[in-house]
Amino acid sequence: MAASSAYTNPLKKFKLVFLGEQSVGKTSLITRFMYDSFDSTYQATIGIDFLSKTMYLDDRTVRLQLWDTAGQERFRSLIPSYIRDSSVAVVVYDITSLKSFQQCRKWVDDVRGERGQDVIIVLVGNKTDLGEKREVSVQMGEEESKKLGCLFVETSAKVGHNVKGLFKKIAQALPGMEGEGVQGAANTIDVNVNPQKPESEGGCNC
Amino acid sequence: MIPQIDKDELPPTLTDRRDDPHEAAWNKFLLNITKARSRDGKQDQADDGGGLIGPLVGQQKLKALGQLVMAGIPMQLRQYIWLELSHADSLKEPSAYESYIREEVDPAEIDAIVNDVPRTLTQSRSFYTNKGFERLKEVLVAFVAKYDNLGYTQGLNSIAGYLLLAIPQNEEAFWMLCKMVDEYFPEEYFARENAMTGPLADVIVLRSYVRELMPQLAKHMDDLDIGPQHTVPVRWFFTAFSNVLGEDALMRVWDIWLCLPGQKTFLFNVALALLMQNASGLLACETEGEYWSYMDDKDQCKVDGDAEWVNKLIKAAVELRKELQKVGERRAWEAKLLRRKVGSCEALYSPDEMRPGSGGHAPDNGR
Repeated sequence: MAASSAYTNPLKKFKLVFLGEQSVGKTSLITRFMYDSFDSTYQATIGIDFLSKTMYLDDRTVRLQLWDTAGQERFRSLIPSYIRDSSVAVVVYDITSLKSFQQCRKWVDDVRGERGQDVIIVLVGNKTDLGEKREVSVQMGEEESKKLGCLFVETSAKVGHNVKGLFKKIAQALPGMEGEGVQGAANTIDVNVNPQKPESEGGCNC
Repeated sequence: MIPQIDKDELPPTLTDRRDDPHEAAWNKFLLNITKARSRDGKQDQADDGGGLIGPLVGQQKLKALGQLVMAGIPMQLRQYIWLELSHADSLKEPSAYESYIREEVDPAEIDAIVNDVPRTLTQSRSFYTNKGFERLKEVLVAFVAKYDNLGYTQGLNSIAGYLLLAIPQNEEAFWMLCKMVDEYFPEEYFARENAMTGPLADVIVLRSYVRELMPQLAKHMDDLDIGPQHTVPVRWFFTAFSNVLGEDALMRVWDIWLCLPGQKTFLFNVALALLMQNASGLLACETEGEYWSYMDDKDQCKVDGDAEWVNKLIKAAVELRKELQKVGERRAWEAKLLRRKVGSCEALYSPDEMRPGSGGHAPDNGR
């Protein structure tokens, strides 16, 4: 703890807020990113959870601070201050739930209402491992993200598909990070997409 | 009086019997009551209101009961003692539960419940993957049928989940849950439209006590720019610690909260006792990020421990009784302020505008 303040170059911090309906996989995405694991026994998020992780980029280190929010409508009043505070909003839906997809617009509106254009918004279609139950096509996700002016990826937190891709995309879009490569380091989060398994940006690996 | 239950349906907390150090004391206490009743010619428990304990006469017995509850109610007895001493029994209406579980409720509410049931108590209780899920779903659906004005709120799942670990009858657990929502949580805590003012007000009130009882920690929170409404995660109060504490500690907290007179604000004692136990760790946090990470990380923020740790926590919480006598007034005051703020369409989170200066949090503390 004391070490970080001893450096002349303090960690650059970025705050991310995860939004979306109940049980679309916000916590699972974060867990996959943080610990590279999927915990089928995770508990429903009540209110807001906070997680923080250091991520190593080429020649600098950034600290990502992640706000994980509860999906239920009535917790929504808790969220604006966290949006206001965040430079990235990750709006998640479940590709097997059209309803969760339709709600995304509302979340994006909330984010724009608080931050205007001064924010990176990523629309994430999660649960691609449940392809046979898909209700939202990749195309629908892409079109919606264009309309809303967001980045777009599809992921599966469960099998680990494209979660690194999601965070790589975010890292590249962060202010001051444009065009920079991203490198993994020992004991840190490797945000590189595994080179043996190239994944498409839209997350459509079919 | 007590309907028979299929053994397979019992939660493991009631089938895997552990030796309870206080069981003998409880048995002795209950035996004495039974003797006293028969001496007074009141063998028929229904005569004096029924229950295991019945109306207690005399300070001596009241004190003995208080001490027993504080030391922990044996798991086997909780189902009877909780319902009796909280007076949840008085809510019961004949056949009402049966009709609630048959009622047609909003499918959106059912969806929300079904989403959360498999995500309840999963880390500690494999019981829940079996019959527990069905039981929990039934109780929550009945709750939504009774309280269609409130509906289902995430968090009720873990409260009801823990109730079902102690209370093997769904219906009894349901009435206990109703009693908690009616009387143990402040009014409108779980209302759809209250914008969470109740739980947020509680966290703000907690901060006022941190300021008074742990000034060094309060100053550190101020220095880190931790707003009063972020003092602790909102789920501490919102789930009555069911989403926070380890199982043994939680049951001990609920024993006191539910059973002892005048302890409906006991959750504040627990919150402060937890902050005291974690004070050195919190004081070592150098940024707000570290502070929040600490709070949300069970490996850092100590919220569970062995029997000795649980005893220490309960003792510390009980000892705060005198300092926390005005919780009720303060939370009512803060909730009113927040409601007004929300009502005037202002952003909920701007404590600095709302509350100039560091003191003056409550009506009894200088307005």
